[in-house]
Formats: sequence, C-alpha cells, structure tokens
Amino acid sequence: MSHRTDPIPGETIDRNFTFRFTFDGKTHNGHPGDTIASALAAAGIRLFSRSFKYHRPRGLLCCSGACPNCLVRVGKEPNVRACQRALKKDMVVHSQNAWPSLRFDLLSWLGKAGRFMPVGFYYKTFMRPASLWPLFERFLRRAAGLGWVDLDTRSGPHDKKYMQADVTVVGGGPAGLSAALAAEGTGARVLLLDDQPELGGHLRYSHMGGIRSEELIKRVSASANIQSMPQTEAIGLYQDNWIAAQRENRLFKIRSRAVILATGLHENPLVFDNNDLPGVLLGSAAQRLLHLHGVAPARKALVVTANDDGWLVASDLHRAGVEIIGVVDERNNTETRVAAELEASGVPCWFRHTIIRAQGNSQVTGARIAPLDIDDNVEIRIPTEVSCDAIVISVGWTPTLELMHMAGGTSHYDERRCEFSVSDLPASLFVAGRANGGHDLKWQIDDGERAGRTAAAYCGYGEASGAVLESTTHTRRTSPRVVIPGGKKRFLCFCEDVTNQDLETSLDEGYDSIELLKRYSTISMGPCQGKMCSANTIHLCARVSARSVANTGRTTSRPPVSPVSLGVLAGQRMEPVRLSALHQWHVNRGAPMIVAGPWLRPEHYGDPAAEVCAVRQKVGIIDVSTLGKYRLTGSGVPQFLERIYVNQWHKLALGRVRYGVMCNDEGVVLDDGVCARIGEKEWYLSTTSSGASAIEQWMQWWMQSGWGEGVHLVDLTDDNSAFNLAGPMSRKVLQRLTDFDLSNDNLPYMSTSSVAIAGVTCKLLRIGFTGELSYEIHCPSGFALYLWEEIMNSGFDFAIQPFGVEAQRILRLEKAHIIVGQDTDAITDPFSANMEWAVKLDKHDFLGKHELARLATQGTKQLLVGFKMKKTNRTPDEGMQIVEQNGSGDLEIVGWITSSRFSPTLRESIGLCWLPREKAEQQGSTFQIYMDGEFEEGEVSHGPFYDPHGERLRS
Amino acid sequence: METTHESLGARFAKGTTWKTPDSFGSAEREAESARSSLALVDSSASGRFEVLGEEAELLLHESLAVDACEVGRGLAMPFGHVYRLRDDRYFGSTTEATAADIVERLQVEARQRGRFVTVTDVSHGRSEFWLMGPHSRAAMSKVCGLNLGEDVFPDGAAAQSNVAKTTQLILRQDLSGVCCFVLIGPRSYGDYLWRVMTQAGKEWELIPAGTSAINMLKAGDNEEPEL
Repeated sequence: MSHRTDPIPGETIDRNFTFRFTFDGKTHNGHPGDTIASALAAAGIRLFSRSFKYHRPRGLLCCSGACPNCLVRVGKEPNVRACQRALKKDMVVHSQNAWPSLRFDLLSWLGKAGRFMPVGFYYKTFMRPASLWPLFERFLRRAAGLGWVDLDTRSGPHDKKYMQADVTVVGGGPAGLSAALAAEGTGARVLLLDDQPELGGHLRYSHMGGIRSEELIKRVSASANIQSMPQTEAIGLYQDNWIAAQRENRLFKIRSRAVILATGLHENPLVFDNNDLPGVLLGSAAQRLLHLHGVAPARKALVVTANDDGWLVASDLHRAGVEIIGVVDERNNTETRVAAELEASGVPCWFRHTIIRAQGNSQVTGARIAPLDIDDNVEIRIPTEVSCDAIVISVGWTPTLELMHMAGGTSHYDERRCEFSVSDLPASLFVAGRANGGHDLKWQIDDGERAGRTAAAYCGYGEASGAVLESTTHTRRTSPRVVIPGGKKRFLCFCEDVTNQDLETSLDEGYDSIELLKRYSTISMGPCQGKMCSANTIHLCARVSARSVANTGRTTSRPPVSPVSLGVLAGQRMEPVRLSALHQWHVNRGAPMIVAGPWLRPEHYGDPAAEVCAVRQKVGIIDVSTLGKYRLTGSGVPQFLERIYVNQWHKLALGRVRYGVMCNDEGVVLDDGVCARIGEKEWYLSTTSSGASAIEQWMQWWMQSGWGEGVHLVDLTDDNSAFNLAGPMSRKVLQRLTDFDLSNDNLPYMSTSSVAIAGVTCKLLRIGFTGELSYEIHCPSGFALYLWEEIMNSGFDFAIQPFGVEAQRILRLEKAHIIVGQDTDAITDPFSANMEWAVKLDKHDFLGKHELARLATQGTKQLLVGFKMKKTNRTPDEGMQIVEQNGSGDLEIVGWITSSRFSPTLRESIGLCWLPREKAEQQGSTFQIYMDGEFEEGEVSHGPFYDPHGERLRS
Repeated sequence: METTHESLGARFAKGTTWKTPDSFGSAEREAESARSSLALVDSSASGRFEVLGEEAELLLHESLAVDACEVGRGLAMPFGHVYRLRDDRYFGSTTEATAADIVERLQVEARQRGRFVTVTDVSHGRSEFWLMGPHSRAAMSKVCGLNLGEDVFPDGAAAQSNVAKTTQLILRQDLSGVCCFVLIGPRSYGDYLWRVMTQAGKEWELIPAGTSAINMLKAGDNEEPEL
C-alpha cells in the first residue's frame, strides 16, 4: 500500500512520470525527484539495513545523509546513502551487511548476545591465543561491516576541480542565501555550496519561509556574481580557507578569501529503550519525506518533543493525513498556534511526559510513555502504552560547526540553550544563521546578510555590517535530557552500535576524557562522524562523570565531515612520466621500458650481455637524453662552480670537460656529472637523470641566496637530446658523418667542441661512462630521431648495437664507476665513496667544505669498495647484507652490497659494497655475504675491474 | 607526439621542418569545436626563445622594439608574442622559421652592446598545446590550481604554474575571440600532458585540432595565417 500523499506544494517529485527499480530483487516504483529512500518509504518499506555490530534492523532516521541507517549498495557501489542518492530508472539496489536476507539475518543473534560483547570486548577477548587471531579476524570481518567492495569493478571517471572565489558560502538555506546576496551586492565573487539538490535549506521542507525563500533563491539564481553549486558537500576546511568539497565523482578544491558557514543544524536523536527500531525517526526526517517527496512516513504517529518544532512536525503530518495518536512534550505547556489547533482537532497532548520505549520487534508497533515527576525525573513505573507505527522525535538540535572547528574557530557550551555556540573565529571565517544560534527565520536572514557584508568587506568590497546580532534572546529548543532511563538497548551511536551502557562501562574503566572515550568506544568514528551521537555523548559523559558539559569538552573535528570515496580523493590519474625524443624508437625495437626517476628508459633490446660485448668489442649507442643539461653564462660562473662542486674549476680551459661532484652543506654527495667550458663565459653542465630537477633547484637556491652574481642558468634538459656512442669503432662511425677531425689530437679525452654531425650542429663531448672510447652527442631534440638513425646507418657496417640501461650498468660496474643514489645514500661523503681525489680542500669555500675538512682529518668508518665473488659466480642481489661473527658468536651486519652484476667481459660476478674501512682498504680481504640462508665469500678488489689504467677510453 | 597524433588519425602538414598535424579528419569540425566547445592543438613546432638578465628589457627594446610590460603580461609583436615572466626574464613565441633569426639577432646585439643578457633558443625543448574554446577555462580548472578567471588572467596574461603535476608556462592568447590557454612545458612531458588534457576535456567532447582549423579561425578574423 502506497504511502504517497496527495501532491504537496514545493515537492520535488514529478508525479507525471513513474519508473521501476529493484530493492533486494523486488520491483518498486518511483518518480523523478525521488531519492532511493523516499521511493522505498513510499512503497511502505521500513527496514533498510542491518546495524554494524548487532545486525539490528534499521530504518530511516535522519533523511539528511547524516546517519548510517539507510546505507545500501547500488549496483556494485557500496555504502550509498539512500536518502541522498537520486533514484534512477532501473536502478538495482541491495541491502548490505545481512545474510541470507535483510529480513531474516542470521547474524541478528548477535544482538541477543550483546551483553557478552561490551565495548572493547574484542580488544580483551581475542588477545589470546595469538595463533587464533586469523580465525577471529576472519569471523569479525564477515560479521561486522558496511558492505563489500567488488575489486573487479572498474571505477568510473573521477576528477578534481580547482575553484576560486572572494567569498564562499557553505549552506544554501535562508542565512546562506542572504549572505551570498549581501556579499554579491558589494561586488564580491561568491560561491554558494549546498549539499542538497536544490537551494533553500530547511525552508524546503519546514515551511517556515514560504514565498520569501523562493524570492531569495530567485535573486541568487539571477546573480551573475554568485555561482551556485547544489549537491556539493563541503567536507573539509583547511588552512587559508582551502575548502574541499565533493559532488558525485568530483573533488573540488576551493580557495576563498573569506568563508561563511551557514551550515545549519543537525537534529538530535533521543536515547531511549529500542530507539533504533525502524519507525523511530527524527522530526526533520518526517518533514523531508513529506514536503520534498510526498511520502507519509507513517499511518499512525506519536510525536515526541521538547520544543515548538515538534508541534510543527505534528501539524504537518496531521495535515497530510497521518493520524497523530499524540504529542508527548516534556515541557509544561506551549503557546504555539499549531499546538492549539492540534488540541482543538482532538489530538491527545501529553505535557510533562516523555517516551521510555519503542515497542515492536522489526519495526515500531507502539510506544510506552511516562510522566516526569516534580524533580524532572522520569516515572518509568507508571507508563502509558500507545499503538502507533512511527515515533517522531524532535527534542533538540546541534549547530553544525565541524568545519568551523577545523578552521580554527572555537565554541562554548551555552548552558541556558543547551547548545554549543560560536566563540571565536579566524578573521576570514564567518558563521551565520542556525549554525550561529538563531532559530528565528528573520534573525537567520538578517544574520546571513550581516555575515555576507562583513565577509565581503574583509575581501575589500563595501563596508562591514554592524555588530554581531544578539542571539541570547532565542528560546531554548534543545532538551538537556538526552538519555531516558530504563530498558536494555538504548543506542547512542547508530554507526558502531554503541549503547549508553557501553559508554558508562567505558567511563567506569577510566576512559573519562572525551577523546579517549571516543577512541575506546569508537563512538562518532563511523559514517556519521559524530553528527548523530556527538552531542548526546558529551551530555552523557558529563552526567556520568559528574562534570559540566562545558568541562567535558568536545572531540576534535577532522576532515572529512562526511564519507568520501577513495576515488574522489584520488581524482583523475595523473602520473607524470617523461619520455625522451627517441621513446617510440625504443618501443618499436621491443625494448622493455623501465622507470628511471621521472623518465622511462629502455632497459635493453633483447640481450644486455650481447650489448655489453658490442660496446667492448665494436660500437654501441645509448640514449642518455635523460641527463640534466644546463647552460651557464656569465663572468661569475667559475666562482659559482667552485662553490657548488667539491673540485676545482677556475683553471678549466676552453673546450675542456671535467667530472664534478656536488655535496650539500654536510658534505654528503648529492650528485655527479660533467661540466664543459664551451665559451669564454659559457659553460655546459650535466647532472644525473634522476637528480636533475633537484640539482637545478639546488643551484637556483644558491644563486638566489647571493651566489648568483654574474651567473645565468638555463635548463636545456629537454632542448637537447643526448646519445653516447661508445666502443673502439665509435670514432669511425661518427667520422663518416662529420668533417670535423675526431682524432685524439684534435678532440682528446675530456674535451668538447661544437660539431656539425649529419648537418645538425651538436655539442660533442669526448666522455663516457662505459670505459671505452666514446662520444656524447648533444643535439637539438627535434633532430634527435633523425640523427640517431643517421648514426645507426653509419654504424651498420660495424654492427652497431643500441644498448640500454642494463648494459650501461654492467659497463660502468666493470669500470667501478658509482651511481649516486644507488651506491651512495643520505650520509655518503666523497671520502668514503672513494672520490677523495675530487675534493679540493685548499679551495676558498664550497658547499660541504667544513664537514669534509673534519672528515679528512678524522677519517670515515666505512668505505665503498669493489668486490668479486671468491669461489663461485653466484651474483648477490643488490642490498644483500655482509655479515661477520662477533665475539659472542652472533652474526653482525658489517656492510651491504650496493651494485652487483655478472660481467660478460670478465666472466665473473663483480660489484660494489660498503665495508668497514680496515677490511675495505686491504686488497683481497674476504668477507661473508648472506645470500638466501647461505653464506658466500666475496673478495675486496680495488680499482676498476676492466682497463684499470683507462687506456681504452683515451685511445 | 608523432605516434600519438598518428593514432588519432592525424594528417601531417607538408613542407615544414617539423611534422605538424594539419588535421585530424575534418578541419571544419575542429574549428567549430574550438569556437563552440573545446579543442586541443599541438603547436610544439612553434619557435620559442628565452631572454634572461637584468638588461633583458633594454635589449628587447633596442633590438626588437618591445615595449616594457609588467611581470605576468605579454605583448603582441609582428613576429609573435613576448611575455615578461620575471623582472629579468622574458619568453618569446614566434614562428618556427623566425626563432633562430631572432635569437641570433639578440645574441649579436647583446654582445655588441655589452649587455649581460643570455638569449636561448628553446624551440626544441618545449611542448606547446593550445586549449581553445568556451570551455577551456573549465577544463584548465581540472588540472591547474591557478585562478584563471577573466579578471585575474585576461588575454595576454602569463604565469608559470603546476599543471597536472608538471611545471608549465600558461599563456592566455585568445584567437579570433576564442578563449585560448597556451601550455608550454618540458617536451618530455608532452605525451603525458596531451593525454591528461584530453581526459580532462572529455566532458566537453574535446577534440584534437590541427593547424588548418587554426588557420580557418584566423581567416575568419581576417588575420594572416601563422602556423
């Protein structure tokens, strides 16, 4: 039987269209404008979900997206808030956390065993035996939970969007609307965020505003300077007014000069026996269902209240045809017009009464109410029973101040009004409307206007409005009575199934700080993030620990204030990757590409060992475009180089190249590379591939810190591609492409010249990392592919072989060249890395000099040294430990392997490792490498393994 | 970028040093998309140069008659555009054919006049994409945190910022009344950035456009074809 009412003015549904959807396999009808929850409620569905821990039946409670009671699975998307998700045609909706079905959930027996599972029971119960924990965990994870994630489902597109505004208003209710209009009126650019599909806030369903709210909305919509963003939920407010907001699959990052929070209120649940039974719902939830979706939440409803708002709810329901079997008000009386009308129409009114129990098993079938005595205590022994199918609770409100707290605002507890109120705010943050303590509509609108003007003035538009409006005249709407005595299950936290008994137990156990209480009981740590339970928890904690609410305090608000999916946080996939100009050539040759810093580089072209042999015996070519490349000009360059490198530069002649080592202030090796003098006042500097960006920043930092006089630095990393042509035949290959004399006399080792190769003007550097005769060719990137192919063609007769990173690693290891970052770490100095020869302590000053001078006299404990395997050709993995037996017979780690390969040239395993100085200094000394449970012997080998005198590279 | 363009069905322009996409199918459709929605153009083949030094302003004025302008703004010149990125740093964009000449002229003049100014041809090291159309600002807001609002970043504005986690020079260089953001960044990130921008523009049905579409837009505004 349908619970749809007759059409209601302002309802969001379009009754002209009907479509179908399914819930747990059963087909239902809904209208455009319905949410999943409203359509199910219209179909008479009361049971929406099972609770987290006890699997208790749960139904609609808040209808505002705050509570966990209507979490469902839509298709394969878990944890969808049914009251917030718009219904779509053919939607497939499932309940979650129930087996075998929502109605007959076998795990609901846990509710019966609740007394054996008090708060924190699993901390205590499943501690021992530890070996059984995997079993316990398996059961717990199946029994407790909030739906499941289908790992095979591809997530839809997610992205992020940056926005900027002068003033951002969070909340599209009367205060938010008037704030936006007031700010816009001064010329400020305004963003208006609201989590609902339409603006209007509580006026959309509470019918307080009538035409006035429509006028405000119309003016907002007509304003070119206000950008309205409905259905956009602000989930975090960070430093400098950095707002995170979400809408569907998009995260908004909003930077605003001023922020106005017109975030309204959360309605408080009441804690009484069986208060989680489907059919118990908040007054604002009933109004939302009724006025937005034309759904009567019940046939016969009992309204429980402690303020005039409850009477308005009762009146709304009554007019919609719901039988109000009574209004229970804990106050002595009320003078509202609607109360008089209801009484006049025969609705029973019980003043000085409250509810003590919701009757029913799977849904509300009745209620038990009791009077209050002269001391305001509940007389639970003289109850009255009434029959109803819904209990509508309207006993108080909590200002929504989580965002304010995140931004550094503070609040205090107003004893008179039993609500938290705003105390202090950062200069650019403003709070308005109901969140600022005003229940009166006119006050809310005026307060919004005041906040709008003041925020705009803060941004430099117009003049600030007068003083903050006085809110002390507001009547009390919130009852301090949050827990009604009597009964077994009185739930404070609907997300984590925490009862008042659990909380009292926690307090008994000593968790009397509100923050500890939260962590121990997990209260407010579920999907609602405290919206439903925080205020009641504080009150209960205060009462049990005999403190005032003000002294009890509140828990820290942290983002996100509402559930947000990981996809939204991740956004569009953006993983920058750098490709050289030859990338496609490498891919086309079947080279597997590996990540090298931010770059993708070819690992090999099929057989790294063959590539090594080609370089040693004939000629090979490698793409080294990934090297950092910088042009330095100016008369100050030599002095700058002297300062950033540990070696000397001022004597470097024109056309010469030098290897250089950079250290930081602590003498730690940062990077290495070469620097060539290509003009009187022009230098060309290269860095490692992975260190390029950091070194550029490093150099810029020092230039801007006083060392940049007479120095210009230009990044040419991408402008110039670079290849290293290496091997005994490299000169012959290259000579075919240029008229420049490449002989040793004209272009000796460590020299450079500008050379036209195949018609392209290049920088040619006679350097290499492989230990062979080699040329590093730097050309404009647009010509890289052309030139590379020209060289490949030229080398065809010599069986030229492209080689990748793997062959390069082997080749350099055969020469015992180090790779900064692989063989060195965050504490490696040049002395211990066997680069003592580079350090010129007699220079005036350079980065790291002080520390290196100290190390030069004190020495270092460990050294980086070459090694060979003594008896076997087993190659240890990089990172393997070198161990030694200490005096007590235990194994001690004394070193580790940093690089290791089997050398195809030497036909043995070689590598670099860190060893204690005394062992490392002794050629041929042996040590034990711990390899997969076995010990293998390594032997120290000083100097390059291959061509130790460097004859080949100088040839 | 060549492979990427080929996979999108690009037809390449003939007779130029660079392989530049002339069209990805229908130049008319591409021009219409730029006018009414969103189009992405690879203009990496353009010429570019950097002028660095405290006397850069003076040299540019003496050599190329570039007037002084404030940081973050650019000037349209007969050869292209010049933007001031810092007090002592300028960026120039021009055609592929003229970049080398301008650089040489500036270098010679700097030498002759004894000015400590470093002029570098950076044509080869930068990718250059034009994001064009009424939705270009919205698409940019998905990849860049900078405020690109009309009042803050009007036509002729320039800024360096993070775009999709890479450092890019962003120029506002409207074309025939069509809002256009030019993204100039390291060439090696070109493929990545193209992919990201294409994805970001999907909700406005972004399509790649070639030089023919741009020339059509310019012709509509009686401008001389440039690309």
